[in-house]
Formats: sequence, structure tokens, C-alpha cells
Amino acid sequence: MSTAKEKQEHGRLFCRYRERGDIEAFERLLREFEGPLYSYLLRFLRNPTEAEDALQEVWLKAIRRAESYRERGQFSSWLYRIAHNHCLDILRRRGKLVEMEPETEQRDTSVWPDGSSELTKDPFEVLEERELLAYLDREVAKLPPALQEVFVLRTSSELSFREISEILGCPLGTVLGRMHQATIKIRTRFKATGLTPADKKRAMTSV
Amino acid sequence: MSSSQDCTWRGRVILAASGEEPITNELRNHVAECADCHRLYFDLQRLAELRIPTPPVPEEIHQRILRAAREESLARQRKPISLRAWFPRSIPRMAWAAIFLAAVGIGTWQYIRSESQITPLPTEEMDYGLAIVEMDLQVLESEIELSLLDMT
Repeated sequence: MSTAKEKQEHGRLFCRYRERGDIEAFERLLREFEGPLYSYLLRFLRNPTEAEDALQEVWLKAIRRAESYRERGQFSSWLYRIAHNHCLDILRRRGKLVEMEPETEQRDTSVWPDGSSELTKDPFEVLEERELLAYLDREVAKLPPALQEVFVLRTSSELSFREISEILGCPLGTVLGRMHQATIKIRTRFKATGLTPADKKRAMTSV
Repeated sequence: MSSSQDCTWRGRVILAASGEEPITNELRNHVAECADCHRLYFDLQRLAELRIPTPPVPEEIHQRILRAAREESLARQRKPISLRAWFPRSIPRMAWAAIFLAAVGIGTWQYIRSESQITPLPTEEMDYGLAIVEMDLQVLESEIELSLLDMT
């Protein structure tokens, strides 16, 4: 997570771009944020082409609305607020707030590390990193939108829960509650469905 | 280990597991005693340790964004200077309002002060003024004499 000093520096860089047209300052910010922002857009929109377009649009909006950035606020919160609102617009245009991936795979109990068919395990405990990432990638898409947005924002970026509550415009307690709910749902679904062959395959082929 | 549906420590557990708040002994004891919070704490710690891969952004997109930033910056420089440009954002609006009011106040006070002081006319102007008044009096005297003559 960025330190307070680093966060202040982000704000200063953006102000240098806005007030003096310092392109190098802007590029430094772009290099720092484009990756995590792209990751967030990809995980939220679930479509690489849309995520690429969204990334461009978000930065263009940030450039054109540069005057609306207040130096006292965090640059990252401001940028992610633009990104979040942009995502909501896209999802509204799609006519749905989350795409549910149909479960076509058969549950295979033999994927359990110890061969047990007892589905009482916690994915965060039993799965190796790659398997857990694959599992999360699938399950997060099935979360209700309110929980998904908190979970994705938290895990894709270095935003604190306080910053997330500013971006979403809801109290910190609500954000923490949603993170809790999301974690419970992810854990519970693992108990009910286990790890599927698709998750294993995804884990083997992911970087 | 106890467990509660809606534990009041939950928020602090989440913040501590995510590194946003320090974990106190009190919190540590609670995590040891509450099954839900125990599970939540360790799940979130594991989540925080995960290295979620950040996909590379296509260079073409990066360059397009940079180009747009350059163009927008040039367009901003070409725009006529707006009133806003005179007011640096670093000074809050209230301070600007206070400065403006103070300037108006000082200006008004100076104006009132200047009006109350009768500044003496320079001598030449005074002489000229007196000469005009004298001429007017002479004309007035002549008219009075003429009218008296008419009466007699």
C-alpha cells in the first residue's frame, strides 16, 4: 500500500501536469496506476476489450476533468471514482449489473488435495496460490454487485478501506461489512461446490 | 471458542488483517476467542498476501493516453486566461472572499477619508475663481442701477 508521502506525491504530480503541462509528471502517474486500474477494470467488466476501452476512457475523463481534482484529496481515490462510475455506466448499458457465469462443470471431488470428498475445507487454507487465484477469479464474478465492487477494488488496487468508502460514497462500516460478506460467500461456495476441473486447469495455465 | 453472528469487533478485525490498523493485545485475544473473527482474520491475511497478477497494459493504449494528455495540455495553454487563472487553487475560496472584502473595505475607507478632507485650491485657480465672482457682481450691480433708474 502506498505511504501517505507517496500519495501526496501523486497529487503533486497531477497538479504539475495540470498547471504547467508537465507531461513527464503525467507519465509517471500513468505508469504507476495504469496496471492496477486495468486489473480492476478487467475483473469488474470481465471483458478484455471493454476493459481496454474503459482504461482509455477513464484516463481521458481524468485529463479533461483535471480542474475538478482537489489537491486536498487523494489522487488515487479521485481516479478510481471516475473508473468506478464509468464501470457502472457500462454495466447499466449492458442491462445488468453483473454477468453470471453458468456453472457447466461437474464437481469433481477427487481434486481435493487429500482425496477426501468431505467438503468442509476453507479455500483460503487449503488451496495453493495459483488454485486460489483461479477459484477467486471465478467466484468473485458471481458475487452480488455491491459485494463484488468492494472485493475487486480492495484486491486489485492499493486502496485502503477508507479510500474505498470515499469512492463508493458509503460509510466505512458498510464497506467493511460488504468485504466480510464477500469473504463469507466465497468461503461458503467453496464448501458447497469445491474446486472444479476448470479451476485446476486455470491454475495450471495462469502465470 | 465462541462465535457471534454480528460481532462488534468485525470492523477492527478486517482493518487489522489488512494492515490498516495495528493489532492490539485486546484484538489478538478476541481473535483467539471468536471463531468467526478468527476465520475472517486469517482469510483476509491470506488474501492480503496473494500476489494478484496485474496484466500488462498494451503499449498502444499507453501511448494513446499520453498523446491525449499532451493535446489537452496544449489546448489548455492556448485558451485565453480565465479569471480562474488568477486565483490559485492552493488558497481556499473563503480566503479569497476574505481578501476581496478586505480590499473593498480598505478602498471604501480611503475614499470616505479623502472626501472629508477639503484640499485647498492652488492659488492661481483661486484667483481665477475670484475674478469670475467679481465680474458677476459687477454685472449684478449694473443691472440693479438700471432697474432703479427705470423706477425713477
